[in-house]
Amino acid sequence: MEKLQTEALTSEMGPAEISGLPVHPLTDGWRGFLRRNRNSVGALIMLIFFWTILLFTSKGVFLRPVAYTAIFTTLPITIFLVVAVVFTVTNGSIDLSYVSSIGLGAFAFAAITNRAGNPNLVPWFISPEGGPWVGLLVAMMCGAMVGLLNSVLVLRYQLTSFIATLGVNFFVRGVINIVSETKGIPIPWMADLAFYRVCCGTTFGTFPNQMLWALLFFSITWVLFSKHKIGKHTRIVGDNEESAREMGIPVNRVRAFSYIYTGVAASVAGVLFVAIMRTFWPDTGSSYLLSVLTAVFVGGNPLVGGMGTVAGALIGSVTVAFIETGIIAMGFVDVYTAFVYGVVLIVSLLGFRGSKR
Amino acid sequence: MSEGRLFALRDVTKSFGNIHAIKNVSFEIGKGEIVGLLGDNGAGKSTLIKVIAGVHRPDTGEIWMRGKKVTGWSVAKARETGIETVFQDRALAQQQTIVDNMFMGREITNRLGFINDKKQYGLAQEMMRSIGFTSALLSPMSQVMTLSGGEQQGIAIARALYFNAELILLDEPTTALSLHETYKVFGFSRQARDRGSAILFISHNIYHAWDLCDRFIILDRGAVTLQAHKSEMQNAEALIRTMELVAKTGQATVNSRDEK
Repeated sequence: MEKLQTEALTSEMGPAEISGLPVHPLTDGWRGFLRRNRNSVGALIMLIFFWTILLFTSKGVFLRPVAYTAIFTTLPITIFLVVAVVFTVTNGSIDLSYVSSIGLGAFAFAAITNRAGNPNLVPWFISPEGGPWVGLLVAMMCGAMVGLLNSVLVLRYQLTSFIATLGVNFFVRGVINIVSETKGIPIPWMADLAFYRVCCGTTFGTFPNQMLWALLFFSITWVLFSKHKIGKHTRIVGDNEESAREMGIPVNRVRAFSYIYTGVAASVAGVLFVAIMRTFWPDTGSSYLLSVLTAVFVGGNPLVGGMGTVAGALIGSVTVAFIETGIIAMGFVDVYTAFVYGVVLIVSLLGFRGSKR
Repeated sequence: MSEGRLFALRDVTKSFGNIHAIKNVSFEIGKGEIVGLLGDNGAGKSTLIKVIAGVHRPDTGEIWMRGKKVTGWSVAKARETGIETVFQDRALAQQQTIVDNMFMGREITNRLGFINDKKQYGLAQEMMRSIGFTSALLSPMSQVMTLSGGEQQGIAIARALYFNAELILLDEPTTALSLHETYKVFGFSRQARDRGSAILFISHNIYHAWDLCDRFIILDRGAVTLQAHKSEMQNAEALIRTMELVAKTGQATVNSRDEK
């Protein structure tokens, strides 16, 4: 193969006069844009495809705005997770521990908010209004700690990311179970708090605030991924780790960033979960393993690393949320959820296979 | 040579477990010199290149650049001090664009680390033109995997030349290249030398090395066995005989002053 290629090259590498800027039909203009963003465009087509099906099959549920308000209430939790996971997938590793990072963040937030605001307990050094803010901060620190633990295991002790983060996932879930004594923490006064109004209230009509926060987080992640050095390095590390090392990219720092970023994002998702549901359960977050990974891959992120799309991930999480709602709207029971996920994932992957040049 | 000295290794060793890849290696490279690093397979050439490039940190020994001892050796440090490398594997990221590969690890960013895409694009276009990429099908936004082997090598070399490195390490840059491309690589190397850069050139092909280099360092089983100027040897064949002697006996002298 090498020989054939070099022969073709010699004719092209001869001296030539160029005037002005060359035009590149394959990478300039809208064709170049489509080419570069083929994965997220593919994800968008997939979304429209499934959405169209849902419009016709869901007995008119998807024609009513209230359906979207309902979807946008819980979708932000998924967005926080999916968008951050893109960093790990793109740098060629996988992080499964986000599932229990959600739980740990949720627990830290719920425990502090509850302790600060529970009228049946002795007043604490944090006011009831201040509780959730401190809780958010502590939750984020917990998420960062999980990320740090992953980094140490994978980067310092060279464990495979899949196995290490699976272990961390069990470990953290175990810690939550032990510390919470497997008891839930209901916070019935949640909706009276200023934190709730800022975080999950409504500012524009019935549009939930948490969706705005999720979109803000998406924008930050998109900018980091597409415009910042860290995003560029993430792709290069996932593409060819050895090359990255040889060119002086701090490979370990890039990987550690993804674990910590995912941990923090997952803990914020946990906080959102508790704020929206007004209660914490020891298994909070467990249900997100399937849907988050589905959204990441339906969003056009290949598992192999090197390429990734944050915008695609956002679109993928919308697709998954639509389908979740669609299953119920179509009158199927919960039993079908896994089945439908499977179909959607397979159909999408086949679709992406076809979209590759 | 001490006056024009650019780079020096002093008693550098590097082991991987029980394998002593590099043993007490010392040599110097002067400004604008093209030095050939020769040796059989497994002599430690590539390991030595990686030590100089900062990929491997030496176990013991010193690295000197421009008469100053450098501490905390790493790739970033090496590139900062003016050492660029064309690795044997080319160190490219196949799925990324030509621009991203050219500025890999040395992105042009603002203080906050945000990349100046426009500037990088323009500079990449200039670089591509300088190495003769004139096909309209190739743009700075082309993925590297769409390039031929020779073109990819061109990117790797252009990258090393671009940053005005004072020392350029070329690890087997002519492998899998056509004759025409090989001469092109030689042309680039001489251009870089004329600009004042020194080059450390590794090749299996002794004739290539003979053509290009002013001086030779022969490495055998991790140690320097011979350093000689081109003027001390008669021709490429003499160099090859010396190499054969080294492979057999583990030691050798230059034939023109053969005392044995």
